[in-house]
Amino acid sequence: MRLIFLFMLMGFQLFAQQSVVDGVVKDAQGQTLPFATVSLKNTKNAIITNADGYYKLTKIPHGEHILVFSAVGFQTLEHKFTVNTSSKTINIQLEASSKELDEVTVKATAQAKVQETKPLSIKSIEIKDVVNQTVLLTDVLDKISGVRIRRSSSLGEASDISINGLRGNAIRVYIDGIPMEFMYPSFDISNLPLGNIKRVDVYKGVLPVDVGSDALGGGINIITEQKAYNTFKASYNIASFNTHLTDINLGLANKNNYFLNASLGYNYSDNNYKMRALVYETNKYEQVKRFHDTYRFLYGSITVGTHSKPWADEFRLSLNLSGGDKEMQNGARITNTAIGEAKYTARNLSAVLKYEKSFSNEKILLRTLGNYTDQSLKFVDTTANVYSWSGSIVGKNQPGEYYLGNTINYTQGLTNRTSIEYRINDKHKLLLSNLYAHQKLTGIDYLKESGERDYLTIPQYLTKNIAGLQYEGLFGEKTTLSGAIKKYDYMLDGAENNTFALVKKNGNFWGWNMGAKYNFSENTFMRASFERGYLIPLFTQFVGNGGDILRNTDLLPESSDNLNIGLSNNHKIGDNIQVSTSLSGFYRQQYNIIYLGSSVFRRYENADQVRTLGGEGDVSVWYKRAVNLKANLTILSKTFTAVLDTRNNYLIGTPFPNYPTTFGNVELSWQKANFLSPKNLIRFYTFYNYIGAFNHILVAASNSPTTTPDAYVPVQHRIDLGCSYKLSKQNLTLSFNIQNLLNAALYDNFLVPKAGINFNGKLIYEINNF
Amino acid sequence: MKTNKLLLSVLLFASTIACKTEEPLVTEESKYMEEGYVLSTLSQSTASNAFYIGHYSTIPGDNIDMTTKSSYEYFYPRATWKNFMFGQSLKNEQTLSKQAVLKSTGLMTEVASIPLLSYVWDVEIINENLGVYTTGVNHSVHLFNPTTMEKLGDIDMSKAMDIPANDRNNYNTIIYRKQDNKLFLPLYTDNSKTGNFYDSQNVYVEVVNLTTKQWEKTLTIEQAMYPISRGLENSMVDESGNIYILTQGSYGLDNQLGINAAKRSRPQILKIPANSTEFDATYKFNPVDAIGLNSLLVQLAMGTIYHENGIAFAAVSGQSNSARVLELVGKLANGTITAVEYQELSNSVFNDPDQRWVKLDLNAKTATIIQDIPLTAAYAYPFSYKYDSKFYFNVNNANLGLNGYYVYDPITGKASKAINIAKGGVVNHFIKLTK
Repeated sequence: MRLIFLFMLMGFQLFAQQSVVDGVVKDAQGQTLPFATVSLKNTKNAIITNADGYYKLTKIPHGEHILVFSAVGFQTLEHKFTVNTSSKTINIQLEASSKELDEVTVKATAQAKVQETKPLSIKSIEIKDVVNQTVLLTDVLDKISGVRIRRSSSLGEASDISINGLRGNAIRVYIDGIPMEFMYPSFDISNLPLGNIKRVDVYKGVLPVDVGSDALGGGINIITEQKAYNTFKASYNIASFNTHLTDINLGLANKNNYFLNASLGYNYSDNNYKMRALVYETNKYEQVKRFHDTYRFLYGSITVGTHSKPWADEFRLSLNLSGGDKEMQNGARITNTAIGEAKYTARNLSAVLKYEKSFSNEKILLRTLGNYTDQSLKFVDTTANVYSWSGSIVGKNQPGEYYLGNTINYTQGLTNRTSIEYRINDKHKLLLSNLYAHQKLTGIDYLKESGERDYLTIPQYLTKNIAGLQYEGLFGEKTTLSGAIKKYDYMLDGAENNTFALVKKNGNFWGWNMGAKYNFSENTFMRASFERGYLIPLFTQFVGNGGDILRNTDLLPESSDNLNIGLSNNHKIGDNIQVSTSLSGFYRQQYNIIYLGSSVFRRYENADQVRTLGGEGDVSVWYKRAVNLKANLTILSKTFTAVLDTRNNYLIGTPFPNYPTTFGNVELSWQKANFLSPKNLIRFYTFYNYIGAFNHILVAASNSPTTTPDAYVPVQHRIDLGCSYKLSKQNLTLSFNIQNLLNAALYDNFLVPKAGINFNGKLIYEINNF
Repeated sequence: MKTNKLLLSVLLFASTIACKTEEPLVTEESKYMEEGYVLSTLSQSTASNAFYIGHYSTIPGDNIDMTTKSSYEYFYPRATWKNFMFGQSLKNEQTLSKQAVLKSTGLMTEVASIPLLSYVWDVEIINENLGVYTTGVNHSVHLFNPTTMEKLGDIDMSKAMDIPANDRNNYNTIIYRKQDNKLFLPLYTDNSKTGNFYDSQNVYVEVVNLTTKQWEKTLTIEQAMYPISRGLENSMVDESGNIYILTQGSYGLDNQLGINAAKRSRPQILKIPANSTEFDATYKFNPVDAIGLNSLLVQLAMGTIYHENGIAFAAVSGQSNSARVLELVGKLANGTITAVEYQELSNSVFNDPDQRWVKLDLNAKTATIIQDIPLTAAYAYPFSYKYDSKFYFNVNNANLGLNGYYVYDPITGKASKAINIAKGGVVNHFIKLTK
């Protein structure tokens, strides 16, 4: 009965009175502006002006609305209007954005700011604001409070992401809401080209149902962008260690709202930075140059689509082809011999289909995004040669420098996320989202001799389905509440390591989360969120690797309780100073942690319980919209609360090793508009990063960084310096950055050294609306 | 007169010099501990493994809290010489590391090291100026000076036994016979593609003459497998020069199970007689059978240490396997065991407290259980040490709250609890330092 009522309601809405709004967009001199974007705020109803600056929006329901006009080089303008007739004409004049240039960081991050004021703890960054001083996406993330990216300085190397005390697989990365481990199973977040990324949302703890899957302690959602106007952008980044990153993006659109985007990029690095290592020939720690760490990555993408059609608000189809190879130089730790021949090669073909449509006067929004991925990963490590850090072969050992293998793994995946958002009214909405992910794994072990059965050739499947229903409502004018329930299902269809017999495993469980936000004033709010989250084991954790890691289909999902509380304030002091501050506390209790056991035979096992308690603070001060000081600090403690092996009870209450507990950043920048020439913008910045000393193995009472330095990763201080200059007339942006200015000793996990002082320069050429 | 004065001056000067040379030499005090004990534990958790190591001026005793000491990435010395320990580096580097305890801090430190191409497997110190080490590299045998930590050379093992089908052919144990200054190196040969730990039905021992520093010959004995002791690889060489080598057999991994299993697949002690470089083909002694447990499906024997007059000690299977182990062994024999079950079986065989320390009479081929020492787990390797005419045997039995060492007095035949760890992981090494 309720369903019938809902359909009746929808039908009523469909036949509500509608209007057409049209007009012409001009600049201050009265010249018409083609390719300006005109959109009805908070809807998908948008269009691009034609060559005469003319626009026409249809299906606008009677009532009060806001039109948003934007064009590159002009200030965005919001126009409030009421329509009660069948048509209305609104002509608009846009102001040139000479003023916008010096407000670029303050105003243009509107969408990011909107994200950051939601009940869930989110930090959102617009890539265009940071692209000039950034080489990799991970560089951006590493500057966020509570977030630590640990990776070597080697381009192409995997990153370990930690957010407020949780790390590794507990943190999931998504591309437009699709889990990256299904889209690009072997690629790392640092490999993703910046060119197509619009925004990055970092969820510290709880994720909304239309983004999250089985992340335990937060996630990173990368929002890509497909331009619906003519645009051309090319960038070239040259950096130390023979590093070159290039990408070209071309976007074409016509007045019928069809668009085509093409991207091409190539990254290369020798990664031959200097570091200290024990050299075999001299048996002394010396400065050595990495010699087997070359990385190459080529990608291409083509997207066709349309928007603002009666049948679709947006429809697009993308084909992405990417591939690369990476030499290996070291394992998780730096030992006294180097890896000199092992390497891996990956290829990935993926297709993405996106469809969005709103119904019932924007009350119902349907979004669906499907992805098919076909990937191969080849790993070759067969040499018996032993390499010194000098680069010389110093002897022979058992074959396999990292682990003996000559394998190719094929992963095919089909993923779909479909979300339906229903706005009950202006203050309340429901969101239903379902993520389906299916993965097939096969492979070949070329080291198997004829007649030997190859475990890798047996097709194995993992299917996950995560459905969530979320409610968000505004109560009064100040309180926002949200709550969600999630149903997790998974099915493993694999093979037993010894007998090769087929094995099936199913599981399902429920999770939930809730969030609340209270606005004390327009500029101050407090928020809290809680989630009982689950992490479904990864494919390899269930089935092993067919080699030294055995399967464990009895593995339980890891779970955690996450609590986040935060206070945020944004206020002005006089006319010239703008201060934004936030202070947050977080609590994480992890259960059944999945880890790789080290008994006679290795397999992933559920083990100890760990609690994290911490706080973080953020402050940003703008002076005259020219000088900006940003600082953040995170302090946390991560301790064992229960252990599986009772003989290890002494660990309860002791610090969990290999986890930074104190870290922070300070960035000071100065920018000036109209520098040397009108509309040009110059910006200087200096960045300081601090990471306190932390033990990377379990330590005892007599250990300290001074008495047993080998047990600790020492205090790290990093200073960067850079500048960028935007030449508006020439459509050029130039930037130059120095990283690790003081050539300080920096480390990854387990004391893997990072590069000393290094340089990068970037050239960006961008034209729009040609 | 002048001549006399000159002579007197010369004499005075000479006597002064003479007096100086007669003065006692001032020896520089060592900065390393030269007495006391080093005790270590292995701590395993979700996060990482670490070794807690502490120095004690006397035998540590009961209720020891190792977390009050210091931790390191790795600690597995394969030889001790006075107050120095030799093994893999504390940072788990591929080096032969000479380690000691700093007097100033009581912490472990690396004195010097020799770089290796693989991890160190065994070390034998012959004297202050000569040591031998083997590594994970096939057929690698090297000489070094343990005082200066200078590498002295390699032994050419190109004529040694090699089984090409097996990817590993190296030496886990170094046995030194001082009577003829020879090394005896049992070959560890393994094919990593099989589930077995040892892939041959024979035992091979390489003989190296340390006088000529040349490989001499390969000894072969059939129907014996896996010549290691899984403890500290203490040599069993008696006063006359008879060498006794413990072989593990196959742990039943070759489906040779129970009383009817092939003898090669069960533990055996082999003998190379004094003044001989051949096996005594008539000497094969199963210490588990000797305590009357020949009906066990799987037998283990390990942790050997020699005493005197043909008496030695070892930890051997001391009770019947559990019903679950028997069930899993049945699956193994039928070829239906899964990888997870295989892991469970291996863990049970190695970790369940089923071993007993026994006294071996190598001449009479008898074994007697030391009744004062309870059952111990095998996989927490049954380390055994001999200090001051007493033996220290590793005992690990979670059911009884035992995690330490028992001391055994061979004169009285009595044993008692000497060390027990209350906090800080599973007991590991117990090393006595001397000057």
